Amino acid sequence: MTSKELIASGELELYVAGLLSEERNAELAQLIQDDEDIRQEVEAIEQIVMRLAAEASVSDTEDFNEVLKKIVKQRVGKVQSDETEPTPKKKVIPLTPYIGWAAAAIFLMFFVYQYQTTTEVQTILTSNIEQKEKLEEQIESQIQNTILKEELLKTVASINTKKINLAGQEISPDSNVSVFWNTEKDKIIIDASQLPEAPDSMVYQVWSLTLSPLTPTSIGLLDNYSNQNTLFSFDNPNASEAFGITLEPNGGSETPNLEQLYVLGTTDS
Amino acid sequence: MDKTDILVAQLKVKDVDAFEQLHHMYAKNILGAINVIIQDEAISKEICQDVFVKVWEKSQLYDAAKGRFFTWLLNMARNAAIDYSRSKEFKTQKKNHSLDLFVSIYEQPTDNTTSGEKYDGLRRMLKQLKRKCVELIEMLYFKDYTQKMAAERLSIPLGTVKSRNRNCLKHLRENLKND
Repeated sequence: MTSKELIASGELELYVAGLLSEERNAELAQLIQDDEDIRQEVEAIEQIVMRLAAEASVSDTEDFNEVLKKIVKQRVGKVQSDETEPTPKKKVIPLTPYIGWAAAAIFLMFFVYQYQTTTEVQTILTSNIEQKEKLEEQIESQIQNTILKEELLKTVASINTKKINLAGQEISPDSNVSVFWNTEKDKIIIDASQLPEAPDSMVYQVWSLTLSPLTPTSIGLLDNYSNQNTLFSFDNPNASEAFGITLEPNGGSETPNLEQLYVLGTTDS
Repeated sequence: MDKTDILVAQLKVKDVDAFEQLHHMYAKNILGAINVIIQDEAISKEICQDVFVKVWEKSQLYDAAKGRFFTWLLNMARNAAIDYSRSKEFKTQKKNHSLDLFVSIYEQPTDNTTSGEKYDGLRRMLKQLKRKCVELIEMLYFKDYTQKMAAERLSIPLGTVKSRNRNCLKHLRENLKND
């Protein structure tokens, strides 16, 4: 069949309507690539059908942000519904009266832990001078962790702190990150103990997201992330509607790589 | 590769900018295609958004060898609208729902319509056609009719569906070119 015959046959109109067999579609897709006349004809048919369709629309369609919101909500909802046990009636326990007690208990545990650690460190220091340098590094890291833990306790105990759960995404369903966001001081603390260790030359990057329009803003990198170092503190002056963590090349990226989205959670969940 | 092919390739690797451009290019058409079946602005908009969510989620499944990107979108929109139109909720809401939007617009007397009125542009396009063309175009592009089903409903031979559809669209294209 020549291209003129094909054009006159009416088959291309059915192709645009999606009414031909898979086999014929594949043949025509190839012909469209190879033959300029056929390509132009198909585009003209498509244009007229698109115009008819557009004339049947009644309102504006500048609602791309609504589409993005639905995508984010669906992702978050999917992970949450996967995680949620089918408990038909949940008993709601008001947490406020327990926050003070919880903070006190954590403080106590923390001081016991710190005392034990300090004693251990002192013993080792006196008995093994060669390891002094290495131990000093560990102590430095311990101090930093201690400061962060104190900050975490203060933040968690504050009435202005929201706890946001970032659920594991497709790439890492078992991951789970807690964000403590003190909206009064514009500070967040991230407990990233449930993230897998980042591969060499890669780093986790934390993003604040606003949904309309969908705008990711980098909050910072989980630098020196390791099993011992899983608490991170950042300033967050953003009006965040969601937080996400992606894996990026060392140094971080300008925009998040959604294929490497490890955890995500909305602030209203 | 034309512009659409490039944007579709970018969509497949989850490029949000490309997705936004494709939404801008096709949302009005997809909304219209849904509205032909649903005939309700708010519900059609919701379904249109859901179709684009699906486009994002399923973009990997689009295969250019199986058809045009627009055809893929149109098919998804038609299916979503038809599914919704079969729901109980929709059936109870839509007591005065006309079955064939194109045909009902075509049959409205011209004297009763003014410029700028709802579906005015569509009415002017359809009025350039014969009734049998309006029926056939609505069935093949905006409903889920196969060639065979259209032939049976219109009581015409199967081969006539193809040639009539070609002549109807050709006529419309030529008239619009002269506008």
